[in-house]
Amino acid sequence: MGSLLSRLYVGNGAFDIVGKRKRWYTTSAIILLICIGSMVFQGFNLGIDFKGGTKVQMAAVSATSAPIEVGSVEAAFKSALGQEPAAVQKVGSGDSASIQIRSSALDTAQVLKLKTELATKLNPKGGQGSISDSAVSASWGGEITQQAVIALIVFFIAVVLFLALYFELHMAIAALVAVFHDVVITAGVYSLIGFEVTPATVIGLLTILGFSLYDTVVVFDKVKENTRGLLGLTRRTYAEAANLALNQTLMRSINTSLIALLPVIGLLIVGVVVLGVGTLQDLALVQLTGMFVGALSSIFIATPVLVDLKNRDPKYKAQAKRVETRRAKGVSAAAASESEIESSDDEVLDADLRREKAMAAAASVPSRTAKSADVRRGRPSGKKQR
Amino acid sequence: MAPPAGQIRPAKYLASFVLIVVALYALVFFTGNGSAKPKLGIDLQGGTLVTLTARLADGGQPSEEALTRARGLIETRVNGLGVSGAEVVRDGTNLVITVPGADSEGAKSLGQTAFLAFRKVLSQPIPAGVQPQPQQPEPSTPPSAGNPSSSVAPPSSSAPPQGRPAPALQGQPSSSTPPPSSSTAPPSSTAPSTPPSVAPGTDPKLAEEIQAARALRQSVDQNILQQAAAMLDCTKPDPLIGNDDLKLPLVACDQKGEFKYILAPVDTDDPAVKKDDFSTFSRLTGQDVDNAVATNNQQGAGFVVNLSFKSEGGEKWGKFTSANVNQPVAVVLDGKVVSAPNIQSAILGGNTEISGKFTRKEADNLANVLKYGSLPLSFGTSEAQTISPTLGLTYLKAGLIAGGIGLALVFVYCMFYYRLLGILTILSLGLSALIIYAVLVLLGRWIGFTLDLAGIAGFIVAIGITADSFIVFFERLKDEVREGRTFRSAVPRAWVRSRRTILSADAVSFIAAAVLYVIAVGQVKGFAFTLGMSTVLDLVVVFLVTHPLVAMASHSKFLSNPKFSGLGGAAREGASHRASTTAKTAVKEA
Repeated sequence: MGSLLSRLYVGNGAFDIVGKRKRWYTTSAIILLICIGSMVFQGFNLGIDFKGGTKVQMAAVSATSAPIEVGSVEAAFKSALGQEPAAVQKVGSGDSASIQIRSSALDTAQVLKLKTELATKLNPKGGQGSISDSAVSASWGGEITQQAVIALIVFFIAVVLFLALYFELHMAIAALVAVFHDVVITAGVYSLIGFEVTPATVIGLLTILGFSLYDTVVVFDKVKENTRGLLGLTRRTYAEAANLALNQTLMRSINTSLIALLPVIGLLIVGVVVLGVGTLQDLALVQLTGMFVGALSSIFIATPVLVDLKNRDPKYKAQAKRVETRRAKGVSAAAASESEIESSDDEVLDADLRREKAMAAAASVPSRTAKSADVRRGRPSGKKQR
Repeated sequence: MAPPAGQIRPAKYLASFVLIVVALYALVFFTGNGSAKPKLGIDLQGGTLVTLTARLADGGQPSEEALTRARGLIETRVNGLGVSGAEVVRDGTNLVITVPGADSEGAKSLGQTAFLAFRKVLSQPIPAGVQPQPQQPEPSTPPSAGNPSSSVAPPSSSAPPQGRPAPALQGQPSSSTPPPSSSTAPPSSTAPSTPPSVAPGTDPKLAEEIQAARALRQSVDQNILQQAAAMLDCTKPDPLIGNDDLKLPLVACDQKGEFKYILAPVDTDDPAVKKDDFSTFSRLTGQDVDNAVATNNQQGAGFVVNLSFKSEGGEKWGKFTSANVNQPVAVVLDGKVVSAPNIQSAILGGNTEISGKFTRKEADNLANVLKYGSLPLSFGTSEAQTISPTLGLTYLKAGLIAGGIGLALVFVYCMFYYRLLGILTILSLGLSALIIYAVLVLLGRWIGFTLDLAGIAGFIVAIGITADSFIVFFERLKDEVREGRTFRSAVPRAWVRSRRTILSADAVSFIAAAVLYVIAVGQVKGFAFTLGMSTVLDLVVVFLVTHPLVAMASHSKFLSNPKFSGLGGAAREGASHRASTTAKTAVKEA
């Protein structure tokens, strides 16, 4: 079978993912426990949006291009307001470098006083107009989160409905389990590492949902295709068919995840290196975590869960038994399941193609001889395999 | 690539795509103002953003009506700042004020509750003629009694004593035959409330202006008041908007900026004044109003407003009207006179009819002011930020750079992995960006969609999702080739199969985005919107560009060469697969 890469590339069912599902369940259960434990006992490092406070940001160089020191900013803060800032830090790099001051909530007058003081004492590039500030009430982050949780619930319901209609209920449940798993783990990672949670993080967390499901849908689509009419056959069990689908889509999953991650990496680079703080960084960080977990869960959680759900169905149980008896009778099942890439939905596909052709013929001008010839030429090779 | 006959269809798809692009850009350049720039959010262009969250005293949900009314009030206040491009948008139970530009911090103090009060009118209305007037009596038609010509404007002044059986007020749309120059009203300088002192934490510069305006327009000295009334310019932003002191007299404009009034204090602390002295003081605010409804005039044409007071308010109203028969009383909202009807008789019991040839709209407006003037809502500032234009620019640049890096990474990967198909991916992504930009510009124009930093992030994340649908297609293509088909025959099969997957996967993404957009608040909306939009546009591009292009490539001998298509490995696999399956079937059949 060759190297790992070629096994991946060929996607012929060489990885027994479904069969080893107990292992994935255990691993994921342990991780989930750690994550939930961390969330319960350690909690989150909540940003200013959840605690309330004021943030002031200004250029890190003065009008005369001299760098502005954190210490002098602190001094200016104290002399303006008579209190200590919560934190002053230099963030970002190059032209975008800035100094960020965080403090307890300041009122408009205080902010203005502070800005004036900073502008006169430190003379940052661009003058007073270049100093930005943002004040957030303690309840704002909470409100965003509350809405986010509502959105989450509505989303779950909508997706279960959609998937149940489009696929079937079992798949919808399995997909949901996987998504839930992703959300918990991503949140857990935030709690464990202590990344700051901002509204942007919450947003990011929500969009992981869509992404993680995208991956799962791709896999399930193949599973559906591979298991159509399965009950009438004794060639392979549902678990085997699902595993095959998983392998066939493995490269696709890896590819889509990787490609989706690339732009996020771009975001992260800019967010962390250039700006140092803010929406971009927060979003990128949470998406990076979530997409990674999401890619794993669509492979290691969603399909195995689906198989377990199916195996509780007596029809599939019976079918699995039939497969076993057939194999016991000595038919080489191993050979059959070995390296066959097959799809059992050829009829559907052909019907689709025919419809397409008919529509095109009806709509378009001269009939496309070359094209229909293609289909005909293609069909024998597809049919002969079975 | 010499196109054989079979490609008419791909060409058609491509043509319809080109048509869409042309149509979109025609709309961009030839409709509206023709500027091809999307509307940028405050965090990208600099300015102030304030999110006000409505809270009811009892913690319940504010009603739709109250919120809409509040939005209108706050909008008026924002416009009173005299900054262009300011907006007030409702977002759930929040009102989001955005004021672009560097000098926009005034927006932070607009959140106070609107305030309605009743003040006795001390002088004849003074036409707000041309600019600051040295002398008060203007030749232009004084709107005083007996000028029945009704106007389009909302009612705002004294009225002719017309017989009316019921206790009634006559509000005459004052503005009758407006003085030639007068109607240059300010954009809509109505405004806010009446906190007793300058709200803590207002901009010191503004505070100074307020103090100055108070010294003049709220002076206890009659002469100074006269002077102030003469000098007051109703077309300028009013610093006293919502900052007038209820315990002092006030010189104010009416809502349309047509007339100026000298008004009595609402109430007083002066111990020399008896508690039951209502000769000057109405001691009534919007809190005393129970309800106000616009109805048909039973006795004649037009509409009237039925006003009722709460029990205590009704008593005060009775005493006040008794003491001021035939005097005008002004309904003052946020320091502007909304209406100044004449009291025709003592009104006991609290039920009052304000009549005066109102149109339906005028009557509704007045009723709304009375009912919601003092909103049952108070606003807390949830978020207030001022982004300097420089920082905004930095963010914009950073967002674009991030997008660029993301695209570049995807390009490199696709080229490496898919070769020719990679080029198609890049082309498709580029075209996708082309439509997205046009749609952004148009949406900014049509529905005021603003692109903020979170929105840019949404697009960047969407690059991945868009590219994903190409990959689903290409991997399918590989599967088919691997099964032993030629590139050419694989394309239609792979397309039909992957189309399903792409549709369902995009549907899920879209559901996610739509749910987020509808339910979430704040920045989330921008992000969700761009994400959802690019999901939809992704489908457009995959159907109209990527698939036709691949189909075309598959018909070209040169391009379908495995070396270019990046399908070499799969093709080899396919060949061996063919060999092995033939062998296997032979075994099985044997």
